[in-house]
Amino acid sequence: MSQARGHFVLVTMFSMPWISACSGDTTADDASGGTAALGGTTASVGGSVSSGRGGTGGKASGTGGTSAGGTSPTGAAGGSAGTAVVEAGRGGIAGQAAGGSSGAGVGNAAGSAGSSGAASGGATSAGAGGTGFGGGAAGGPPVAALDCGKDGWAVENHGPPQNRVNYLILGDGYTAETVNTTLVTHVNAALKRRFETESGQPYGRYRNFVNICVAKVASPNDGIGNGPTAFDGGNGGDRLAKVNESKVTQYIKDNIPATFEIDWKAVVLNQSEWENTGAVLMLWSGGNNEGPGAALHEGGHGFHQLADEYCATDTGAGCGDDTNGTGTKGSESSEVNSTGDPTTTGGKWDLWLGTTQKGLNVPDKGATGVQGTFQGSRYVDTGQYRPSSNSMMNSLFTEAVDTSFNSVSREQIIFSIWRAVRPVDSTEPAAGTTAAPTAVSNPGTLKVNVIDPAVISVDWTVDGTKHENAGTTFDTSVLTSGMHTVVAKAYDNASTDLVKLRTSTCPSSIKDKFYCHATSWKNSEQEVAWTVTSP
Amino acid sequence: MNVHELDRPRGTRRHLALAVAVLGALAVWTVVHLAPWLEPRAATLHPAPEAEIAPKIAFPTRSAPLRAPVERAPEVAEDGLPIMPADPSAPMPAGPVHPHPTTPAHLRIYRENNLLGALNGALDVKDASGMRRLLAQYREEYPEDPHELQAGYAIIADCLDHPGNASTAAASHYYDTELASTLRRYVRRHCLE
Repeated sequence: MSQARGHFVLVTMFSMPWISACSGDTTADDASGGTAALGGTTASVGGSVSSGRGGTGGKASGTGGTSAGGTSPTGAAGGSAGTAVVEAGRGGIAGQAAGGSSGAGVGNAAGSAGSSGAASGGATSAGAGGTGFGGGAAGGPPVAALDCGKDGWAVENHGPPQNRVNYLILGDGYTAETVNTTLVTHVNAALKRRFETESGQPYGRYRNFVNICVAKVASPNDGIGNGPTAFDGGNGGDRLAKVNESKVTQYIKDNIPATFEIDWKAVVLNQSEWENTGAVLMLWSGGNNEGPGAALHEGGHGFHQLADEYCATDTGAGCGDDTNGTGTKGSESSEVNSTGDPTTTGGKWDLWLGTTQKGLNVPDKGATGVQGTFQGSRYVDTGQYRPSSNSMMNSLFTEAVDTSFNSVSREQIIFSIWRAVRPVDSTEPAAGTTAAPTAVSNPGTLKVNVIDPAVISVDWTVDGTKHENAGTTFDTSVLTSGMHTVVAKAYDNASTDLVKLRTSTCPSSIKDKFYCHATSWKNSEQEVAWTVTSP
Repeated sequence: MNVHELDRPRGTRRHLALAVAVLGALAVWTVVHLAPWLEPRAATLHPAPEAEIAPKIAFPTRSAPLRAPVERAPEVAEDGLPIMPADPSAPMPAGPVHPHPTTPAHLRIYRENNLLGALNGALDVKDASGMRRLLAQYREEYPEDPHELQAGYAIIADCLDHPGNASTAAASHYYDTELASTLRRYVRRHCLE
């Protein structure tokens, strides 16, 4: 699996009375904006993906990390290590960032060199003097290796587990040999669908918010149904898969490090049968051609409490057309993506009515189309309405864009992610709150290390003057002598094409009754503050 | 086949037969693999690497070992619509299919998902009494609790209601021992920080 992402960050110039006279005019090179490395490390099969984060500045150059996938057939070695070092220019915009990443993956099959990431940013104006802001697209500290335990494969490592959604996948029905071949193939197929296709969005946008450990648990037999396996996986009846959940729990207790606070957990079964389960412990059949889609769909149930959107007598568009606000009223449920009220949607997605969902990967390609109140949902033909004609929670098959999560489901997934994490990983130097800023003397640079600078923007407020989306660093040498209050606000820069319900309140139909996850949107914004004494 | 072909040596006929077999297999492969692409598709503004509209049926392939036959659910739902076959080598029904039947087992799972969603929502707004009400319901309907979540919710509610040494000690013990719980993050956040 490879990943190479580029991001553009513009650093805006402002008029700032508190800045001392500029001594360093920018050069022509500076004015053109720097480039920096981002997301530098990737590895192929058996390796791990880590977030290499370089920075941007007035003049910056960077190289993406390179990595090699695992090469040991025993799985004892491999992984990836990449570095991205960015040197910042001074004079124009004083971005200064050094980033990089390293991730230790437990490899198995031979991996090829990872690709280097690249990003550009740091635009500025020639000769206008410095602003102090920079590091737009990064400047984060190196990512420490992710400890997934003795059987663990750190397939996605993007930061400290305490501030990432941690997803654990256990294999069942794979032998000591096939955990390094078949299991890797099954996991990579599922993650490629999740992170790289439109139908997997918004997971692609929020990829750096998720760490993934895969436990290569060896079973005595290869394949489900061929004899005992580690977790007794098999047919649960009615197209459901089953495992021995007590064995799963015990395995985790015995083998998964306490530092990996599990948010989502799943078992991938080495079988081709169409049997999947969308519960607390999500199960999917790794060998089925549609298994990656099943992993997304069942995760929609188990991780995000989304409803099935198909009706009783059909699936997809066949369930019924957009009623445009008319139709028989039915009962309301706690799931946000099905409603009994075609007029108001019970407040669940009234904000989306009449909009057309844009693609996240390629906006013009679209996704699930018009968002309305389509007849039929939640296993019935009448009295329940779904947000889009088709969707991932309806007919999940193939990678067609109309099987993406619709706008309502994407919003819910984003809320779910923000339940677990906060925008800021750390600050340098340590910051306080706006109510109690931390006093620092001549720190040189203030830095906010966010989960993903491409997703999280930072506004800086210096002595009451606000500078929007001004990067992750601030060079305090531009401050005049004296004491200054500096506040950095980090926030999810999702547009209203992605998140419309921004009040952090539950929809009216489920408020105070079923509760919801929309209240977590408030977690997508975080302020830190310093009181800076400048010489 | 013509007269001249009948006159050819046996080896040549074998080669011919082999060639015919290969061509036949190729033709079958072509039909099977290209058929989905020959279906009418919605017009798009730009060439798209991903299909725009999903067909209602899937084309699963086998890549994991066969397993012993097991009892299967009916292949047709009560409403008459076919259900996606469990066996990927089974012939696909024509037309739309249900991904799975909607059985009491499915509904029980979704009911649990909803209860957990509500519990998490109550947790997020720090509504301890709401958590206790939902937890009582959860305990009654799902006493098995294989993921050991119920104790976690109870501990968090205690931390919200009665912060102190006792609730902190219980939270610490839960955090240190229930490593499989998806509530550890929230126990830490609400009780230990």
